[in-house]
Amino acid sequence: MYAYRCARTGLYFPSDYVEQWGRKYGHGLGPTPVSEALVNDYHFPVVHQKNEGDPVMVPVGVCRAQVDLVEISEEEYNSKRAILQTEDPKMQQRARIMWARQMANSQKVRNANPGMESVAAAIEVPGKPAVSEPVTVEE
Amino acid sequence: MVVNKFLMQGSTAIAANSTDNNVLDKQRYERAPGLCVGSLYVNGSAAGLYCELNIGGGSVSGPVLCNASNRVPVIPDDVLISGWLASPNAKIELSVTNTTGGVLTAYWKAELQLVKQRR
Repeated sequence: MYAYRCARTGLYFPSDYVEQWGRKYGHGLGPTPVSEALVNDYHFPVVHQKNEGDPVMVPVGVCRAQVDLVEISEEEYNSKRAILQTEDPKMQQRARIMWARQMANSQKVRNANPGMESVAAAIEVPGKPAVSEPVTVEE
Repeated sequence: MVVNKFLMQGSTAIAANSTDNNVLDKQRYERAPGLCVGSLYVNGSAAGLYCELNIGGGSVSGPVLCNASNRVPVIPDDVLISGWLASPNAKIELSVTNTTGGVLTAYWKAELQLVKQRR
């Protein structure tokens, strides 16, 4: 089957992703089809609120990476299928996944040098896309 | 030096399911420096941000959906509303609501152009 692959997260979008851009997908993302997969923004200064019990989540945003048409098996598509904005408009499913990834990566980011490249390398988790796979917290 | 154009620009993290009543709080031109005509540009880091503009206690817009471009606003692509007037010392309030379950970033830019009055 055909699918569109996000160049940054490795997640797969449906085969009509580009054709239906602006109709079913990509609301508010402009005229050019890009990936709507979410990524964590570890560089944004986190604002701590009063009486916070839980660790504060860093902001998330769409990655806007390039999408490429690829031919893959149905099993692979289902294993790395992106959760679409239309399926999860309030971000409840995706926020849970992003939160787990932040918990796993925040210590690495804190220990990394402030240089952009080393921070980017620290938050890179090979083989794990940013959104749809279940995330295990590394110790 | 005569200054007739003013800019405020920044980004604010909005916690999940919450509202920041005024992201322009403590900005230099939070209050209009004179009779100004303004332009407002707002982007969200992902879909689900709503913003509302009030000038001097008057509502310019109700809560309107922001686009999800995840970037500092580009002129003119990311204009939300332009051509609004602010009286001297009128407070400019930009309230942003996050309706999602994750923290989102609001990128905002407000341009003010001083209006010269004939006397």
